[in-house]
Amino acid sequence: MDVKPDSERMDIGDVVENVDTAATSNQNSQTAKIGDSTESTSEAGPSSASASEEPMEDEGDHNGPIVMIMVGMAASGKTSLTQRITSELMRKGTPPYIINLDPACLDPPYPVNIDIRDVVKYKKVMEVYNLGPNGAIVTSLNLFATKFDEVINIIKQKRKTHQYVLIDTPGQIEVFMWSASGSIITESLAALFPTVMIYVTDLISNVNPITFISNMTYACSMLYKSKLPLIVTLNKCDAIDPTFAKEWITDFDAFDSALQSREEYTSNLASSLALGLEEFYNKIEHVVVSAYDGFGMDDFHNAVQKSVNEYETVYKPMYQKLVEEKKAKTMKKQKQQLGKLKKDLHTSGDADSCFVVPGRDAGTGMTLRLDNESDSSTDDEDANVKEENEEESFSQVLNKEATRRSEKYTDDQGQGASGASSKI
Amino acid sequence: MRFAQIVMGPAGTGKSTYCGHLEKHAQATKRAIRIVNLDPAAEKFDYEPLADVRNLIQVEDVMEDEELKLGPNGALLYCMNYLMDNLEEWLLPEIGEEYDGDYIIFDCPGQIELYTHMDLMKRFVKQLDQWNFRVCGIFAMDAHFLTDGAKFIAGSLVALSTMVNLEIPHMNILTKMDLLGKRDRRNIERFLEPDAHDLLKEEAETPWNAKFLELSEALGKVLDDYSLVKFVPLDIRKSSNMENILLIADMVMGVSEDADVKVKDFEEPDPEEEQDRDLDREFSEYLGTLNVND
Repeated sequence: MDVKPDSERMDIGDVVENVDTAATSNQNSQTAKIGDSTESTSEAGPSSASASEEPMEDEGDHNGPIVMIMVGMAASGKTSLTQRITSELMRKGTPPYIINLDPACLDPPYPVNIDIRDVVKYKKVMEVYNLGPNGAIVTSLNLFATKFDEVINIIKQKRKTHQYVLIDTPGQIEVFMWSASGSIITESLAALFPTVMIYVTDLISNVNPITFISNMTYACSMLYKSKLPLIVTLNKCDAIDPTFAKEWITDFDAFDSALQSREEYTSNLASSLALGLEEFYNKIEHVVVSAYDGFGMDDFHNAVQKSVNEYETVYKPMYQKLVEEKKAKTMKKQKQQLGKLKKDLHTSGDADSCFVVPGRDAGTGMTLRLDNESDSSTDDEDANVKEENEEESFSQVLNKEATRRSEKYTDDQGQGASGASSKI
Repeated sequence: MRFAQIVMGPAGTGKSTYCGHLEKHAQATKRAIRIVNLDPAAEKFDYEPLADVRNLIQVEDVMEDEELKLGPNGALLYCMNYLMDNLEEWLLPEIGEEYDGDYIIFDCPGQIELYTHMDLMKRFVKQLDQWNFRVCGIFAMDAHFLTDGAKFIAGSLVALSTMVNLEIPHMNILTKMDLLGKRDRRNIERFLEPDAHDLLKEEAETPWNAKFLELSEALGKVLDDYSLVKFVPLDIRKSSNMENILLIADMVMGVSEDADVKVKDFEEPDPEEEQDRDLDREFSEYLGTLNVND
């Protein structure tokens, strides 16, 4: 594919729709169909045109798709819930655009559009930087964060075809919530799109009132950390009767008596915490769902809609102010952070080799470059060209992997929801 | 009576660094403190562990196991479960028999769900209790993430959520103070003796703050009332910081009897333990020999 002029940014859509290699065109059109599904099959032209069009004007004046960031402790059912939401949205004809940020996950049971695993090789990160599993996740996320502006651009261009963007995060919740790259990612999303934080927690482990309050406290802390609309999602209600949790949320006395049945010294603390959190329950959406049988998904969507409205009135002004007033400052800061990050990564190991180099097409020279250019003393023009190449290859790599995956996905799903049957 | 610090905190906050410096500090002040690594995913640490869980089980091995098919997180939980099942058989022989004033630091993994979600660490604490340990939880937080009022509340709440679940005396340390810029350091000083009410009032008036004003106040009240969530700064270049942390931990666990002013906030020691005066006296003498500027 030709290198496009500077002003135009590439995205997966471009690649999907423009790639003309006969061998891959079937698969690619399939990807497009899976991605775009019923609602937007008419939109078939080169999406470089769509970039210049006005933003979609359905529900209110959103300037982009609704971004849902799924966070939750390990084993809370994050992935299953993502799968459930995806299928619900597909059923409604508004398929989500899915981004996976967990570098160490196994193949997720839903079609992923952008996958961190396509960009960063987790195992390689462990090797190159000589890191353990945790450190490798943080580093992979850091590597990905250096590319996140491109992801943002892709999302921007997807507003025509996708109303929702789903982001699945690593199981280690603190890696996402309490790391530099996590804040870079959430902040840059929230500044541009209506963003909702979905905190997934499972009812089974919350039967213990202490664990319950501990979880709610953690959720509350995420509210303060991220300053985003938060939906507390109590998952797995198929496995256990959710009445107790509903009672505890709405009625402090019920919680207190459950607590008093335990004789531990922190009962006092937990009890006053619960009293403090009453306000939290009032202000925060909470829904009881089951990823397993789909219970409560309507409630969930209402909650999302409510949170989006909230974002418009409460959060958007804040982020806009942030954007307007501190644009230069935050940009500089982020650049610095990124630069620092890149520098760190560069000095402590060979970052390049951690990115996925499309192996099957060795020789096409599609390599993701991270920091070699910026470090060396290339002049601006050269850097620009390289930037373009870099973008192209980034998209191409993503696209290729997405194709490969969707192929697999349709294999798994039979001739899945999209009805695309162009497979040969 | 033995004493133990359980060092917890998110990944990358400097738990192991803290332990490493604690070891050096202990050597310099001639104090017998030994460190046990309980993080099966630990990469490297700059201390000589008394025992290392990686000798028992390693996350990498579990991850590579064909039958289990676990990701990093699942593998870690598997390891921790395995460790908890083998405490008597493995850990007890490793840390050896009790002797007077035994002081052991446990360097724990960073997964927050171990503390808030699962009962693994609780089981560990109970086991230590049976082995006649007095335990103090050390929760490490990266100072970089606590530079404004809202983030401070977020951090406090994370600390609280582990605190409420583990039910042990608890103290929070702010790591990486040495890496902060001047302005951030000044900002953070406000949080060391926090008044949550004031902190939030200083924030600019945004719709967000207005919406959550009541919640912030309610939480601020809890934080204030219990005054449990205090942060102790740790600048690893300053040995006075380390000394301060050790001193507070000593007070919390009742290592020395004349310094137990704060102990009433926490779990009362058993009457039996209280009678163990000899040991306490010995430790207060011990403390006296340290150069404490308190």
